[in-house]
Amino acid sequence: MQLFYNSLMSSITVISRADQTVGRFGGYGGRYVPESLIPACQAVADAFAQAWADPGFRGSLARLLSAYAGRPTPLTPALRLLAELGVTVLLKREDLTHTGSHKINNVMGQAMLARRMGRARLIAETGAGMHGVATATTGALLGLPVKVFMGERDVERQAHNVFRMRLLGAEVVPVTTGSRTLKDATSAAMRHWVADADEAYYCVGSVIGARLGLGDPRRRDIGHAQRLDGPRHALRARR
Amino acid sequence: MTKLLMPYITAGVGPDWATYLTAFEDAGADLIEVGLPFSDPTVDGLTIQEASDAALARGATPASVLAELATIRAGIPLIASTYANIALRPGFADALRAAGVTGLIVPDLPLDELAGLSAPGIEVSLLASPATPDDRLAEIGRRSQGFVYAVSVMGTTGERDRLAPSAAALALRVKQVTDLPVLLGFGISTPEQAAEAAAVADGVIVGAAVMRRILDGADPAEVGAFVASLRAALSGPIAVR
Repeated sequence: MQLFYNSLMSSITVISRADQTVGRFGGYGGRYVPESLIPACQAVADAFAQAWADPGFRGSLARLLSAYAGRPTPLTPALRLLAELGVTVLLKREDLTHTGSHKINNVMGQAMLARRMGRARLIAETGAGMHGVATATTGALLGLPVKVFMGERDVERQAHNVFRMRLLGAEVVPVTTGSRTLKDATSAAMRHWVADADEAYYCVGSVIGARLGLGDPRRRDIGHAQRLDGPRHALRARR
Repeated sequence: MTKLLMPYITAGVGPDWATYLTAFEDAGADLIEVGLPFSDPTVDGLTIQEASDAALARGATPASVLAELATIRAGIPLIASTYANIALRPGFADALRAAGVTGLIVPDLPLDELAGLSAPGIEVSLLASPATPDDRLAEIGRRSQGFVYAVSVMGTTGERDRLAPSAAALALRVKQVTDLPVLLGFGISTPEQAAEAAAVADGVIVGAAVMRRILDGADPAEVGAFVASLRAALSGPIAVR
């Protein structure tokens, strides 16, 4: 078990290191965005590098993740699976974070960065709605208005999350173009951002293939959060 | 110097889409931008999104529309435009050349990612934006081929009531960093706006205003008449206001 966690943590570290030197996840990334968004992406990348080097920023984020989001989340042994299959399965209970998914980890980092950059509002895309809920929640906490783009079909399918976002004060914009799902919501958010790049922060929640300068904070925040939890669990698993 | 006019068409938008190209040429277009439809056109506003969706719904693919294009004998340069997902496929430049295309615009392939594109024999024109800083603009001027596409406004393609104030400022900035023609695009909707844009740029690109007419059912002669009105506005004396 310790071996498993060591290899997990070392792989996370490798990703982080590659980020810092290359910033595009090896050959897989890239900044495939319109020229109009390049300065906005670069501003996020620069602000993130600065914030991440600031112990005050990281301390505040760690406190929020702990006191507000409920990290670290526990490991739950799946005892019935052990009895049935003879295999030890440990569930990392990200569902126990506030808002009920891992999405809050990256959103808290991005929203704090947005506030540090002096951005006036958050925009986001969402599919099933969990990223939208996490963004709406964090925006409400930090005092940033939130606009969430969501495909019309997803709005219908995930009415419960639409209700939660609106309850938290976010504006949910149904996207009626294309396939009316997540990818179209992402395109709509990018189109909106081009016209509001100076004031809005695009709190990306999807793996949308682009090194937007936004992918960096997400990956690093998640890596950081997992590193925070990881050593504790490694110890526990060894015992 | 004569101002350049480049109307746009979404390839495959209707069964007779290719006949509009001849109409554009006859109406005095200097080049034609042929948009290859893509499912996620992130820089396009509603009109061109709708045109792109219509083409895809008809089953248009890059290969199918380029094959149709190859049958057209255009006397003016054809410039393809599409998104990185399509442009970065192996063999794409070969397909363009086989179709008689001489230039390419990829709006989501900025300078930083240009190295991933291999397009021998095709002139790749880069976009410049009002948000582009000076040092970057100089690099765009150096590396662009054929012309520089100056994006008039911080926004998507689509018709607008007036030429954005950012258009003139950007055109002047781009002209300082390149000897290539500087074409203004995004939002140029009327002959008056075209003339206003051409007062500061070397020409204009008109997309959504053309495509809205086509989507509304205008035939090649009617759209040709609109293109001719743009031509007349660019060729005539510049109105003094």
